[in-house]
Amino acid sequence: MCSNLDTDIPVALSKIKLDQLQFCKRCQGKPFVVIQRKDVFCRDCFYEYGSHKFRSTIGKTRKVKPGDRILVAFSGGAGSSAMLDMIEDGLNKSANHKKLMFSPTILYIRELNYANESDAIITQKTHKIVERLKKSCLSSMISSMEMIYQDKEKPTFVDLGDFDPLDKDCPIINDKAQSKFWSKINSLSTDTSKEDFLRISRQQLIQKVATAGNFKYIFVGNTCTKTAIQMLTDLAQGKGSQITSEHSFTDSRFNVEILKPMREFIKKEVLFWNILRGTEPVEWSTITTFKSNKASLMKLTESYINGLEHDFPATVYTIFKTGNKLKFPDPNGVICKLCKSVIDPEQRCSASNALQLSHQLSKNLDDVFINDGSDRILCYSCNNLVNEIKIDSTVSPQKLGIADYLLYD
Amino acid sequence: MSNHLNIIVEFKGGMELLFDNVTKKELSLPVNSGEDGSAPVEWTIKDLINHLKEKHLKERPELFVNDDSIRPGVLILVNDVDWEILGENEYKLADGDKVLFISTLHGG
Ligand SMILES: [Zn+2]
Ligand SMILES: [Zn+2]
Repeated sequence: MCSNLDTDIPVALSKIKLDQLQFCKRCQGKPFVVIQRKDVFCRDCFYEYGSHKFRSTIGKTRKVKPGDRILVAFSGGAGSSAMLDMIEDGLNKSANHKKLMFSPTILYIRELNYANESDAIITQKTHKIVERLKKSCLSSMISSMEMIYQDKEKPTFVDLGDFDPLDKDCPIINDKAQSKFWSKINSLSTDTSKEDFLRISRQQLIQKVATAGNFKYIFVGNTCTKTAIQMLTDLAQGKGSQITSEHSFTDSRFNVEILKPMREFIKKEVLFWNILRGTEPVEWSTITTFKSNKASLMKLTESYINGLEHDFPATVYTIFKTGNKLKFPDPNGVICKLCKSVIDPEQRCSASNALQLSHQLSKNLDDVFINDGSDRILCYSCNNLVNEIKIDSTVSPQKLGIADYLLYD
Repeated sequence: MSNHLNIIVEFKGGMELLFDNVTKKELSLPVNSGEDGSAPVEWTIKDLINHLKEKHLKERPELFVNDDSIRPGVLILVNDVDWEILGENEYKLADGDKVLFISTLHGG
């Protein structure tokens, strides 16, 4: 499979003393990448390793059946680019036992310009993503973040062929919805809340499209690294009770079940897969791009984990595996209206209550969230988030529902 | 005649944001040939990182380096091979080498 290292040693390798040089652990071929500072792979063996891991992650849960319609959430970033490539590659395999048998459709959600980049850069990135989708053998649908505020009678997504980012009449470009979106984001005081808000909005929008299109499952490209970072961030924010559903392979809190076929790949593996296969991800800037490591809880956690990983290469796996051992909360418990997690009954007597009490005591937020019936059951962290959104003072507090604070119907 | 080491440097995965959105640079690095005493005799990756920081970096050095070494979370490849296989900081650059900096960090 792999050529043995004799004559064609690459320049970069030829200068390393031979006794220091490590070879592919499977075939002793030319090294390409080392995973966790111990497992060396050549290009061919890394390809086999990656596509096997992808297939087996999907296969071992026995959820996905031949012909199932799957909505593949594609952001253009490294994780979902690798996922899309693995899907396309898997559909084209000739050997039956290696061939993926489900029926995928791509969903690309156009993000807003969070980091204030130039129009030229945004146009260039959008163009690259559209070109990538055109190249795919799969059909694609396009939506945009502001579609969570789309007028009820209008569509929330279009087919790739109907998408023109410069056409104001394109149904998924809605200035009114966009300014509503910005005003919600801008009313949040911390970048941590803004990231949370975006995450929940994105989740809701994907659900909306998947439900409308009658899909069986949603695939998202979350890597093991992202899971570990998010898990620690969530813990620090008091979301302990939702960690299991949010970060396990299957997430069935919503209408359409979410599966994470990339969750056993660390970010390094994903990046090397993209290099190996020549896929060119497009990184969309986030709320905290250009900002310091301390800009948000997630960014801080990310740099903390990266620092640890540098000296202890098993850090991400260890956090990830520990998270996998957590028990699912009682499914008959009370569900948070916003994130649909089961609210820990213990938590209702502690963190949430303390928070409610502190709001009861604060003058500005009198009786907005308190004592208002079952309509507003929120978990601790969603309660935090909702309380942070500034209230439109022209509407009387009695008439406000959660939708006025955040999103959707 | 002064000696130079010619290499290509590439930035991906958000690293380009720190270099004015330039994704590829061709560099001609001076090599100490007796006349120019300030230039290194040989260039290691570590020297290159330092050179990029001093001469080419457009934004926030702390997002590129961390105590003289590359910031954790940034991967380096030399001629499409993981630098961890090649001796990392101590790898000695050769004429024609292609060095790729790629960020694993979310959103750069
Ligand atoms: Zn091999
Ligand atoms: Zn919640």
